[in-house]
Amino acid sequence: MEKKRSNMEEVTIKVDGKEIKASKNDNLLDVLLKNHFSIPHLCYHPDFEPEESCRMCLVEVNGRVKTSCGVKVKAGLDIITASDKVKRLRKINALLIANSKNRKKTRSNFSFGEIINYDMTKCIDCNNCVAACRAQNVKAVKMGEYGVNQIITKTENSCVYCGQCLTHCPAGAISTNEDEFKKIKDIIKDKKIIKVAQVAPSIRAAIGEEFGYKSGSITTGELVAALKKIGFDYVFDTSLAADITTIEEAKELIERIKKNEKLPMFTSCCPGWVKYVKEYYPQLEPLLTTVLSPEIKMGNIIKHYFAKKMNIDLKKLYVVSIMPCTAKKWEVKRKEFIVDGSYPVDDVLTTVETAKLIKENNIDFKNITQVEFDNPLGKATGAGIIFGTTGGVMTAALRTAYFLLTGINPKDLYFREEIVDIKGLKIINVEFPGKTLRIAVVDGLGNYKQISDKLDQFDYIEVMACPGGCIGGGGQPKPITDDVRKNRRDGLLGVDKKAILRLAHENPTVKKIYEEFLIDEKTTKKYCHYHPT
Amino acid sequence: MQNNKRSPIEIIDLIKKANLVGRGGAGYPTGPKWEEMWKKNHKKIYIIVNGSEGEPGTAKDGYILKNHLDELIEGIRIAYLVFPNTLKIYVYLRKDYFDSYHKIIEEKSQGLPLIVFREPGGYLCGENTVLINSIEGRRFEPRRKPPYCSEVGLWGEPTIVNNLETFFRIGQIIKGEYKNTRYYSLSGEVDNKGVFDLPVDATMGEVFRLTNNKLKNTYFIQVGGGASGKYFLPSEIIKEKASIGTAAIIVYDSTKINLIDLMKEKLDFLLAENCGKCTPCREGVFRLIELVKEGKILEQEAIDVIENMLNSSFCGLGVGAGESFTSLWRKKDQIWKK
Repeated sequence: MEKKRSNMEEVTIKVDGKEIKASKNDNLLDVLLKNHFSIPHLCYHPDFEPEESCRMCLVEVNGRVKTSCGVKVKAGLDIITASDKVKRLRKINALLIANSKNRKKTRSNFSFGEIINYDMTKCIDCNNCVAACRAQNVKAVKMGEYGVNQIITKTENSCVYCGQCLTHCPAGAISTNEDEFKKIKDIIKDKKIIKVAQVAPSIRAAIGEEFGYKSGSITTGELVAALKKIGFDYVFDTSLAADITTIEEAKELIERIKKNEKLPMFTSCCPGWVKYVKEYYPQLEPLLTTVLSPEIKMGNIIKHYFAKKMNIDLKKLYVVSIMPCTAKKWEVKRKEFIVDGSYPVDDVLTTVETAKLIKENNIDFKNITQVEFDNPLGKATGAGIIFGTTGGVMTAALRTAYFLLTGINPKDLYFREEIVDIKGLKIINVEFPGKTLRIAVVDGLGNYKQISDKLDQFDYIEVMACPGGCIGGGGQPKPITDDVRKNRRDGLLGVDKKAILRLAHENPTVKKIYEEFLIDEKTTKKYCHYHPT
Repeated sequence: MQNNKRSPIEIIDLIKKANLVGRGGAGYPTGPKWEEMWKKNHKKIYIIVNGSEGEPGTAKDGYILKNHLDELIEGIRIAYLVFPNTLKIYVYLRKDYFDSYHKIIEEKSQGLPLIVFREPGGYLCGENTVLINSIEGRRFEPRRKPPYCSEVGLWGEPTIVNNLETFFRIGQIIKGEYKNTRYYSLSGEVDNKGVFDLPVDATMGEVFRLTNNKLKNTYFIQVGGGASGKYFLPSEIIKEKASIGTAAIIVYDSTKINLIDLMKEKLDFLLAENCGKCTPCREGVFRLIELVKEGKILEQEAIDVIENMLNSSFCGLGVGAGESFTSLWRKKDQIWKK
């Protein structure tokens, strides 16, 4: 998320008698945590201005008790992190928060679309969900009433299922639908059904955190192995379908620019963004690329290409997407996507749900023997992998568009390095031979309004609902902070940089799919494009 | 009129010389506050006249509106003279005051960019930042400080918030009629109740003497308001100054009310008026009420919760309530002698 840059002037403060260097105006709690002081805290999230409401992160600042999240660092601060007084007050506040359960236990739950559930018995009144939803410019929740009667409620605004409220909830009060999770688990146990999992690009850089890995660690092999152990018969890589998205989207972009129609073209991989458009900017819908998201397209390829090839009866086939995303649960239920009577994907598990499933199956994720994705849908290029970060779809599409226009591959595969920066909005001109491509890359829905009234200044716009893109998605492990987002992004970029194949149009599996399945324009349109009727 | 000839700095000097201290309860000197704002020479500011008067037992703002409206408006005009860069002056009145006086204030304040604003909430809206949030249509919750209202206040602009009585006193100062007095609101177990104009440095004993009120030995008093005021014994009134908080003095009779009923009364008020923002105040009040119900209000846990309110609440109201209960706890055995 975009944060005000702090003044970089370095100052020295004293913490428990030790001298510590920090930047002036930095948040004191951040500084203490970074220096490994153990400070309990609940409501503070570095994405937002501190609420200072839980009163757990108390410390003594020059002899006065203060919430450390509310103190800006300056020279001369003398901090005691755990005086007897502070420890006593923290304990009282913790007990008071626990005691509030007495009156909250009769509260009822509510849900958004049966996808995101709010359990108000667990709520600790921190207001972070409201702040997260406000940052997304959706404002579907608000704090209602006052005092002990205050409670989070829905507003009239429609939820777009991005799940940012969920990732910012410190109390576990917001979660994905438990009943659906149980249903999915039951189907996975059914031996008569052939279970296929497809794994989104960003999962590999995040799921390890649930098993003690540092954020950004790539654990593809462990994940595939674990999914197999759970009972999936085939595990495929959604990044492969991302490569097809890249090719189709690059073609569409070139076509639209040639005809000078339906510009700027918007990406539509992100269901949070698509839902946001449908609810709040319906006039933009014709500008979205018609190319289906990699996940939906992958579902089609599994059901209408792979299944046929393997002689699998569609009635016995169950396709589950492992996604970083809560809005994907909405996307897979879109009736418009049904092809020949089948939903492309049957169900979605988030990263967190998948990790839970792995833990419930007592799988030793860290020590498991790594397994590769299955053939034939397991080989993606680096371009497909970076779909998981902000600017990734844009970068991949530019690489292939450049090739389609010039017949040669671009020299610098990142064009302009800032494309993959995590900063909310990037406005960049990319020089193509004979043409300057004017692009914008948005991460975090709330940042879209910065360009909403100047669309004529752009040819191509990528929008990802979550800050940082899928790596910061609503289904990803907590905590998600700027550092975590950056590490996960760097993880994905590292995979791309090390990959032998980094251009979607050079993917041999993709070429084969075009030869055997997407044989003509009509078929490609049927399985890879969305046609509003 | 003579006032119009004075320059802003002359006015500020007069206020400083009079040692005027804000009448809202925080006790901040008005002259330096205005001078600092004036020196910054902002392009645009807001002025807010805080007539929320939500502190129980306080009735002085209502008294001024009823009896000294012209002098109050004179004080507001002086503020506009010092700050001609004022976009709007909000006279922020609690509901009943608004309903009674908004028309006449509008009539009498012609020429001023003035809006009379009806307080939409309760007790909390008297806190400056809650007040500002309530004007802006936001949730009635205190804001973080810094930034202070004088830097980032109403609609993000520098804002002067002063208590309604403060403006009235400024009017007096400029006219040369200010005699170092403030309004004390007397209520409870006294014969002569009401609002009295008495010296700012009066002791509690003097206030009772000058208002012809007598304290019995079984009485105890709360000074500074019914929610955040501190408690005193009859033996203390000779020494203690009465100018605490909003200078509301409530007199209780220990033979008529016991500690638990008094706590319950105070807690019911704090529960009803709680904004809900912070744990110590929201959950503290909730727990104390549970303790009353469980018959455990005299146990150690109660004082822990009170101490926590005093030390870790987000805004002054939680701290004030914590202070109030702390002083009651210190003196409870003397008030209700066994």
